[in-house]
Amino acid sequence: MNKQEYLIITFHSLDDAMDLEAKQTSSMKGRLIPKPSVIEAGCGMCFSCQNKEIDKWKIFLEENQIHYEKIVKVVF
Amino acid sequence: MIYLDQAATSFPKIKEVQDAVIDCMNHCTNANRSTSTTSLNASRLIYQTRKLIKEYFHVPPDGCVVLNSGNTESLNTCIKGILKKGDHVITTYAEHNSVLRPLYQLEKANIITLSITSPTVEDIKKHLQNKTKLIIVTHSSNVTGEIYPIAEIGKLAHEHDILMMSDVAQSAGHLSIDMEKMNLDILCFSGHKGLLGNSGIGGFCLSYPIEMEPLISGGTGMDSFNHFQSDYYPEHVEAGTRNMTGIASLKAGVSYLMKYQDEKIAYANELVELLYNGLKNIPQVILYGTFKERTPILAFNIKGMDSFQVAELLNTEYDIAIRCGTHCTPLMHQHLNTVESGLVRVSPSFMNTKEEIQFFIKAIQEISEDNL
Repeated sequence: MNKQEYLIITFHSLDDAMDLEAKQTSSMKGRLIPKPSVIEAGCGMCFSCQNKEIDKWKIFLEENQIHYEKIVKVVF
Repeated sequence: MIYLDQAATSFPKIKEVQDAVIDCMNHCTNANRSTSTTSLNASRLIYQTRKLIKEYFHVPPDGCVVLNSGNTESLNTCIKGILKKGDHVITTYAEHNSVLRPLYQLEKANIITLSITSPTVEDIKKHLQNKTKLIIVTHSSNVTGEIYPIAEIGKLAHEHDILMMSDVAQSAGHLSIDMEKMNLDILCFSGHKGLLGNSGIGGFCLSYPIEMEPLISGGTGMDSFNHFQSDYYPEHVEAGTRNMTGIASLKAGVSYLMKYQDEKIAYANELVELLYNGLKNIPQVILYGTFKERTPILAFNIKGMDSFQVAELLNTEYDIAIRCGTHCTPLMHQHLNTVESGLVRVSPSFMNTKEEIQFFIKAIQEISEDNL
């Protein structure tokens, strides 16, 4: 299976993950996926972004007062 | 049956609540455990419910909403989680055992010292100490329906850098509550009374992430290799599977109140006034508490009768449900001097009719006359 690069946003609380899902827009969107083990072993959810521009996401998250843990690019 | 025990739990559950519960049963599984359609439906339902509760109680932006099994769990979590060795607590004679018993437990273990006073600013002020950490005052008595000045008490608490906590089990759904304006740091609520949801759902709101030890530890759906609960709210104090149908019922109940609360409160007040005017004219009836400002509860006794006898007759002869006894509020009954007899508590809501209230008054009149 071909590996792909993903832009992932992680959260301290799953309520924050739901907050991002609810506030996403047509240009800043994505979907909730199980947190890949390459980021952290264990369970949880994260947001897989369609748009892969980290700076734009940082601005978007700040403007919409969405708390997050980190934004990472991962390949899996 | 005529149900006049709405302070115990709302009944019957409104159609919106019933429909929401069925819908949840058909579309939601375990929240925050997967990204499957039904698990995300559950996670979204929880998210939307927290948002609604935050709006309903005017929780400050940095605050959070915790959903759990109800007010008793909320009060225990906050009391046992926040208080540490050497802390002093002030509470009042109007509190329910769900406040008093956790406090007595900590007092018995020599963790806290406790002052119990009347629910007034003046009396609470007299009991302030340097080590006072927390003041706990119910918003409205579950015995008499009286309303207490929690906003003023909260102001006093904040002037002395003390946390202010209120139990709004009997006022939520019957009074407007603004956590920010009322100077509340912690608000504990029941979901199945005035908020119209099912039993087994409730929670608490924090005005900011207040430090506390979790009462219950366990799975949260994230951070599995951490030996301890997450430091972040709400997971910090929400271990285990959430009560999804309860949360669905709470969301439906609060959504209904956001639309109709003002008109429903006005109608319930009309019923209480009708009730008060009917009962006060029966010579053998003794009414308790002040009438001018209250949630829809009236407490009374019939001279020479135990409250349980009145409840039994109402149940068996008239098919009317009320609550007798001491309502898990021992100090209030000591204050009212009703430890021996208990009290008859009658609590209508917007779901009752004027005809039902009139029938109830007639029943009390007949019981009183038969007892002469």
